[in-house]
Amino acid sequence: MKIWDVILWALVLVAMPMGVGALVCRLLDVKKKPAALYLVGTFTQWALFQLVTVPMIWFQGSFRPLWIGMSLVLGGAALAGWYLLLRDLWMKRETIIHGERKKPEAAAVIVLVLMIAGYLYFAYELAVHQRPDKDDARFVAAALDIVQSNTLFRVDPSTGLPAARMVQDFQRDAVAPFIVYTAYVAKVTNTNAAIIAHSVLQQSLMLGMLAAYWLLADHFFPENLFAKCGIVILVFLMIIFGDHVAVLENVALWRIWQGKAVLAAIGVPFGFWAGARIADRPKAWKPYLLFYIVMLGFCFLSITGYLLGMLMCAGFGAAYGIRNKSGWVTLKCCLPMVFFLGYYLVYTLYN
Amino acid sequence: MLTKELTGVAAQGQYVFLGTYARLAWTIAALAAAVYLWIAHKEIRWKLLFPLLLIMAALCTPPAYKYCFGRYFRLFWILPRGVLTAMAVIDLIRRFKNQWIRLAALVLAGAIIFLTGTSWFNDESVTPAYNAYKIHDELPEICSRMLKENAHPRAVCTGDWAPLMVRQYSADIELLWGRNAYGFTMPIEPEAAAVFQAWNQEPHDWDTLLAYMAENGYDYLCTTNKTNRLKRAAKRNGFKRIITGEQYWLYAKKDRVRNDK
Repeated sequence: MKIWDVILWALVLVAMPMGVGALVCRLLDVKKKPAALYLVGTFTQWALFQLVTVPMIWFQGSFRPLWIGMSLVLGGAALAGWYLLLRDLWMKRETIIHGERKKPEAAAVIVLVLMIAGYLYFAYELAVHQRPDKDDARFVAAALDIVQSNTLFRVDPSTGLPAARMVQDFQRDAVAPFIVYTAYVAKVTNTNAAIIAHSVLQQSLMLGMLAAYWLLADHFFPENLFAKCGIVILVFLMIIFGDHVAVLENVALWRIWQGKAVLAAIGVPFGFWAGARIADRPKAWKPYLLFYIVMLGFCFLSITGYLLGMLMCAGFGAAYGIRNKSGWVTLKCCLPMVFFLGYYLVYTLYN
Repeated sequence: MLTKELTGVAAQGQYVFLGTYARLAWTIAALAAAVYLWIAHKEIRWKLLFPLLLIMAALCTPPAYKYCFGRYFRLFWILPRGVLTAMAVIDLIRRFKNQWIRLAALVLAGAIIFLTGTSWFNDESVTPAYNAYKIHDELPEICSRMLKENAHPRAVCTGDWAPLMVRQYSADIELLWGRNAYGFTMPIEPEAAAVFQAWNQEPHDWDTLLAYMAENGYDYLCTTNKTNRLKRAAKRNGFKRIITGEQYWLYAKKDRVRNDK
């Protein structure tokens, strides 16, 4: 591992999503907290990948225009986002440096340190251990095939032979092609897709998981550092010591580089955060737009994302519709079902 | 009518989700947490629990679960049991006025999880990472050897993991079968299926496999099998062992073997 590789991975997996997130957060009135920047940017990337990749797979496009085009669009958006973010910070520098800040209590600082230490322990353990997963024969091998063959879902990952048509698991992966993101990161960082999935993406997704729980805790316990850190610590403890599969988040440990695990570990808590934001401003459009982005991200992650997304839309739509006595609120929450239906049609057309 | 099916669905979901009925305590804790949060935290009630309640209602309605959702256990992932439990515990803890009591209570809650559970990072669940690819430690050497001799080697891998891991090292290696032989990912080619069927019996029919490989340009056999039957069959069919690892052996067709080891 060279230092250049680490810088490149950090740029593609952290700096780029944060830049994209800065731009989208600005457009959608989301408070520019680091966790929000990271996850909003990440899901915007995935939503964009979903919109572009599925038709490309359908029309048997090649991988090159996809990764070049996405690099230009995402890179441009990230640069714009970072420029605007840094400009804002520069303009507010006096307030940031000399403004009054409430001093956190000692216990909260201790819990913050514990949370960071716990996260680092978690990341270290994941880095030095491995747990082979049989599904990687399809997820990781397919990503490698995409990079090396410059095609999108035209090679059977089990054998490397040309795939005459897409059926079974392979077909499902083509409708929720998170594999392509792994391939994209592998390509632009010139790293083997297995190293990206098992060693690099694993770490950035763990960061995403931390950010997702932090955001959810921050939403319900704002201005309470102790509570936010405490929730993250307890969830992480449950993940590590919760008897393997006792909480849904555990699936993250097995195979966080696979789309369905990303959905469970990051998608579900982030989806609840995005949904809960709608309740604050049910009449405005912007919280809904962010929710739609997250739901499109769900589609990209896994075929299960279609079902979970549908349930989430229906749940939030019905709950907020009842609470606000507004069918319009329900309708707006359920609008992402159009994506689900559209992709479902694509899925059936593959048959 | 509802209760019987519903109980079955919940129990089945619990079983599939957890792999056991024994860890029901986590679900009960999450339910208790949800009830507590419903009463104590108005914002969580309306923003999180009410939508979750409706989702649960949809999921656990027997006809909906059976016909719309196809009894798919992963749908239960949508119930964030861990975070609900954590939120309820923290909401209780933050009511203590003294910060040091709050800290002690949090440590106690953490200790309960720690002491009643088992670390996921144990010898049964994980192994040390042998390499950055995180595939079995002898496989990179085996794959490199094949790729050194042939830019697009064709191979057969046997054993639990080699057929799944070799193509994670390089997509340039073509396999006669992989996980598709066991009904996953994509259907196996009829010819490969026939060879697989012929070989996959006890004891393995190595002669059929190696003869097919020799005739069809599959120059390498990566295997965990170290029986004399294989050794003899390899000799008969013109294959030579070129890597003898602790876990994996690599055979190659004699005319493909380079001497520049």
